Amino acid sequence: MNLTLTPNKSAASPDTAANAPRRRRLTRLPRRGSMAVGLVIVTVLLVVAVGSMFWTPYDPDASGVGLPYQPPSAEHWFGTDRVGADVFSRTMAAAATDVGITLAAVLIALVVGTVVGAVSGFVGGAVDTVVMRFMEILQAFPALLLAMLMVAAVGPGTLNVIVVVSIVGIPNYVRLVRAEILSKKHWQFAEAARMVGNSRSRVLFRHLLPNSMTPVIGFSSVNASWVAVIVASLGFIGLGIEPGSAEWGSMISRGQDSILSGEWWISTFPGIAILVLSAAFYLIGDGLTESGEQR
Amino acid sequence: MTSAVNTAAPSTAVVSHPVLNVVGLRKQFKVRDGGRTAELTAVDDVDLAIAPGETVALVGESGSGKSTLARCVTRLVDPTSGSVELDGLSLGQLSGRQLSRAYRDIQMVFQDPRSSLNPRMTVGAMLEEPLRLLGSLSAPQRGTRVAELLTEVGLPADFADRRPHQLSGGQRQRIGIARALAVDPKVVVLDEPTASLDVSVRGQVLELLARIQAERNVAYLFITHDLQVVRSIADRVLVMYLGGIVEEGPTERVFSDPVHPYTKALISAAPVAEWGVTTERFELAGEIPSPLRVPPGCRLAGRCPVSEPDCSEHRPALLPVPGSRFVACPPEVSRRGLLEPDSLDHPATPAHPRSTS
Repeated sequence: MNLTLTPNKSAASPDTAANAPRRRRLTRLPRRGSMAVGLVIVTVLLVVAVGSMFWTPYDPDASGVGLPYQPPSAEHWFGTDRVGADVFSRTMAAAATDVGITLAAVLIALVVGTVVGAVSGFVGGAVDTVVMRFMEILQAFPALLLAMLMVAAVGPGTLNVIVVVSIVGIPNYVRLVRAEILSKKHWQFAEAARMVGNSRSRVLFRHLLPNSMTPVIGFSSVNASWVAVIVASLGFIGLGIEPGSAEWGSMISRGQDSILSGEWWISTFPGIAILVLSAAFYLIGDGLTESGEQR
Repeated sequence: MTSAVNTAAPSTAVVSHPVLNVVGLRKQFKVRDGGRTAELTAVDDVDLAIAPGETVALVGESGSGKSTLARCVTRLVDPTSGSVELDGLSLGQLSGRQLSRAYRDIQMVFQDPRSSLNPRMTVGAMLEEPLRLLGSLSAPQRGTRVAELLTEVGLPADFADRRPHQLSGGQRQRIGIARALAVDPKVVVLDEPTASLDVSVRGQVLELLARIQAERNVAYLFITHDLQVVRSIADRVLVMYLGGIVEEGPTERVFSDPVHPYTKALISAAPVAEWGVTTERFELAGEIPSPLRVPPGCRLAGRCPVSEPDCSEHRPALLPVPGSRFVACPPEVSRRGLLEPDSLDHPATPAHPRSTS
């Protein structure tokens, strides 16, 4: 028994060893591919978003461009809604709102969170304790609930939604950047940078931070994927931007009563749009994180 | 810290006009030890002085506080007490900007050339940085100076465009040395600069350091655990154990005739690379204690073969012995009849021996 097992084993092990690098390459390929898919989708959505400001098949805010509740057809690709507005035009116009708010909120959270996290980790002591306790308070609430509470407090509006959603995201960046800085602040190149005459803030922002951004960039894309969902969720429950303006979440909300009566297209197309945007950001983030780990 | 005003530190006694003068330096860290906060004394009351153009080696095993001392001297960390004077300027009270200015005269070469170079910067940018921030050269002059610096450390000028990952360990350490020399400092603190290098490269780097010192009259504080390196480069050596200096003196004398039991153990533990030479092993009992539990008297008391009951009660002072040396071991000094008559007239205080040599 042993005699037959042993050669088998030894024959198998070099085989797996030889396969290992190839297998790793195989698992990496789809990741690279998925990142490319994500980038293509986001690019297309951006083009649609910008394009919708100049041209849509029908006026997205006008009602009665067609008969109410028309199913998808050659004239109205995504059908029409209860007031006879063109769902395709509205979905296009909403891309500008949703993609715009998402990118703005992520950018604000990225910049503010990075600066706060970097300073907190670098300075340490009481500053760090106060900042981190505050971040823990923010994170104690579920993200969507916190966003709802804050929008309810400050009122609807595009700018308010951007600020609120970015605040919800900030603690993640603070924690991530702080951890990176803490792990690097005693690296010798930071001490060396101080010795050649950099002030402490230059050591932090010119030397440490640029070496800490790789995971942050990857995370920001993953973050964008759930920011897009939160923005749409706020719109869905009517707490988002001005009522009536084209936004995917509020479009779903408008069409939800009609789904059971058979007019599925009013909610479904904006729903697919949210899913596609969110998934695309996630794919990019996943790929960025992966390539960051390999370096 | 009122600093040691009327007590002459051992080093000060042998160096008349020190470029770097450290008095009573102490660094304690608060650490958590089994749930409670404890004080870790990494550097305990160290005096040291370096003359212009001199190389002083600080030796000791890992955990003896050498690197902490280096960081206190350059104020990368703030000492708990004590004073550091650089060419008459006290570094302790300086603000951030004043400290940056002081870095024109004191620079540091770091232990690990892998982590001491910013991976995102080119070699040229790294060498230009001190010139830009601390120097007074115009941009074109800085470019010329970078090329000169690279030549000085034995690298081709086109290395300016490379990044750290394109360099070998030895090349990186040469860049670290070039960076420290860029502003023509008076003192360079070298924190184990050869520890992570291959033996062959180590020799080249030491030669480079010696050549630079001969050309520029720069003083080195050379921190190392490698006795071979000490012997080849240092004028004077300070032996450190558990945060304190136990023996100090000219390198050759300390090596050929160590007095302190710890120095003896350290030297006899090093392998000898000569045929027919056998040294008697002088061994200490046990391991170096945790710096959280430094013995109250002599730091070596529990491990020392020649210790006396008194050793574990009083912290011994550095006593002057003939040949510009200082040893913190009263039993050994008196056993060998090395006590200088002067120190009998002026009994040494526990912290700072009054030395007249």
